[in-house]
Amino acid sequence: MLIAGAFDEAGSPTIKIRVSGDRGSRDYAATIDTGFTGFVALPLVEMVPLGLSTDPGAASVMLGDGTIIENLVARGSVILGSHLAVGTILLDETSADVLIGMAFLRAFAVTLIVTDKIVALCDAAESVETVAELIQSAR
Amino acid sequence: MGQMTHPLPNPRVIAERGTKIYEQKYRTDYERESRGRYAAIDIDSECAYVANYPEEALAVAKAAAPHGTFYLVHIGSPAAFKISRRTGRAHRRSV
Repeated sequence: MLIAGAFDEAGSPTIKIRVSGDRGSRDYAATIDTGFTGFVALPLVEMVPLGLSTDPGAASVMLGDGTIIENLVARGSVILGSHLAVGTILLDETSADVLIGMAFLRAFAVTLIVTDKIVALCDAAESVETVAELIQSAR
Repeated sequence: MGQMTHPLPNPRVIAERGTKIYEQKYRTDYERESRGRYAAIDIDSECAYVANYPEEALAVAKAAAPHGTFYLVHIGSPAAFKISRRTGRAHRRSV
């Protein structure tokens, strides 16, 4: 699996994911945040159209300035390419960002590749040559 | 058009109750024995379910108490998760 991403207007790396709940699925250009320790973070408003159930449960989240907030948590399915993983999704009532974190990379067993021109996720099935070709092709 | 048939649980209420249970019943032992693992605290029964990852802790807790309300703790950390790119806006407390 080799999934190409893109940079958003702010220069942050993004990758397309599909999140599924009991009512449906939606595609998102999720920001890859290696400073996020969790799986996926979604705005709380996405909970209803997707039909995510909060179980119910909650977790605390430490933000970059040390502030601690509380989020609802839901169990959700995420598709990356043709692969599916189930994980804990944080639902934030104050943010419009869709984030994927380190637990996402672990769940899909992928390596994050970021250069000045490319963003990609690849798993162990990809050869070093294929990855090198991708990097070379962007030069 | 989809309708919400149940009010959403308040995460702050769950966190306050879960934190109180964790501090009173589990923190001392867990921080000595299970630092780095995750605990899902059932705020109704006050039972705790420990696993290596948050998904596992919540799944074990849900299996044991299907109607439970759970608060997730990362043992030894001030919060279950970190998001470095976000900062507090209208949020309530800080460390």
